[in-house]
Amino acid sequence: MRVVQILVTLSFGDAVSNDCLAIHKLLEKNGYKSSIFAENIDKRINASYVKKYSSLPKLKADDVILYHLSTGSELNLKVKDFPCRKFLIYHNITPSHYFASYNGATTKLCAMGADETILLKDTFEAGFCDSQYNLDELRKVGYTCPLVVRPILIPFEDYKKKPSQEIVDKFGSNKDEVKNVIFVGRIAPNKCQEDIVSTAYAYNKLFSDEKCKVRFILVGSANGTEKYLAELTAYAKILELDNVIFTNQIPFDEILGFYKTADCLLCMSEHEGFCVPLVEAMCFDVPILAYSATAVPETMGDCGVLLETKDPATSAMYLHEVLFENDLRSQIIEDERERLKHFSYDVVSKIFIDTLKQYIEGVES
Amino acid sequence: MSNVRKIIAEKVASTNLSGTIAIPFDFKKLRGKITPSGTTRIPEENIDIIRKPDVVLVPHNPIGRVCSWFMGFFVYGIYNSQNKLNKELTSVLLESERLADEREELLRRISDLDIRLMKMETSK
Repeated sequence: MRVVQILVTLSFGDAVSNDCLAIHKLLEKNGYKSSIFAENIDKRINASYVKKYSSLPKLKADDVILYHLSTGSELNLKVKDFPCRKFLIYHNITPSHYFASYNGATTKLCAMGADETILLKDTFEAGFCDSQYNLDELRKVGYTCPLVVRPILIPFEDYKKKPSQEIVDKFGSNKDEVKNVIFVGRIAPNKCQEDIVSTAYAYNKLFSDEKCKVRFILVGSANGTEKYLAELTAYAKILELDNVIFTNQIPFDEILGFYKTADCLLCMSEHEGFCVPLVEAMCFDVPILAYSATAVPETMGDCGVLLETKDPATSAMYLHEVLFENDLRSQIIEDERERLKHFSYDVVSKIFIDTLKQYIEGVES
Repeated sequence: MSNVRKIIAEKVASTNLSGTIAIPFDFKKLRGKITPSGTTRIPEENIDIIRKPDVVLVPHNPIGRVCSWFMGFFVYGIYNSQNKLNKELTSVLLESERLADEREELLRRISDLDIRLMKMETSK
């Protein structure tokens, strides 16, 4: 029996790809013969167990496919015809309407993905979902197979790597004068970076007299959403904000540098199937202020602070509290450390392996 | 877990500042239709936005310079490719506010021009 993970794109550093690679290691550690096949593979990933989908060998009836579903693709519907056992790993698909004004290809892929998710409802024996939110979504479109919530596997070891000293020096050296509010994630309309810009505007209006200033750093690539980034940049300019920074794509050590020097992670996203940056912030002891939508409150659990509104004055007021009320900050960090245990490698990998054994071998652990 | 959320929510609620900051630009309404700020040419595809009847051109200063709230920008004037203010079209722009049925013809004409948008202070 072979366990074959299949996905459309194996990128470098994104959540789905990291999850896929981590599962591979986990499978091997547990004695499974594992490999990964993808239609598109980032050139930086050079591993013998990662191969192009076109070279997928003939599958046998007892082989197991773990299919990562996170976007639209012709590949999705081919899964139906594989003559082997099939299990789903569902990461969610962003509703297409968010991209309608910005990227026709992405809009089409997301719309296709939503349709294909429905068409696949009777394809899998069972599945894994990153969150209860994702699981509920599958149930709503007619999935009746066993589904288990298994948080995404996060490579915490990577976060121990050395952060960019340049970023640490530049953004961490004058904390008495400037606080850093960050958001980490692709520049994408569903993540609503415009609401961070609006919050910055309101913050500047409400707290212009404060001695300690605040800057807003939006870390993330705009690959494919260049038009949205251009609009966000224009928006910040129109609002005359000189304290909003867009990094666009940056190396991993610089991302670590921003986490290391952050005083708050502000997330205004409206659609997340899990939201890895929240867990990353927990890992770096960065207090989180997040808009309560889709899977965000579930990932947060009882830690951090949730916003129930997008009113800019309200989000700015919350932000001020999170940044400057030291007792509350300490408590938030303590709560986040507790919550982080829920996503530890040991906890998540146990859920995954126990469930997989149960699925494919009928073994209760 | 702590009651941090409750403490902050109560404190923020007590300030009564909710809703007090109005953002002078509706990003969500105009998403996908915003041109870069500063002195900018409107891309041809964005001309379509002002064809829509719900886009209101509001003249702020009826004398002298023309300042209209236009796609979230203040229209400073309509210029030709030689950087000269086209007074005729600028005045038609204002006029079209009152004569909606002329708007289509106006838009056809300005779509061929280099339109310069400049951000400026609100004129009263």
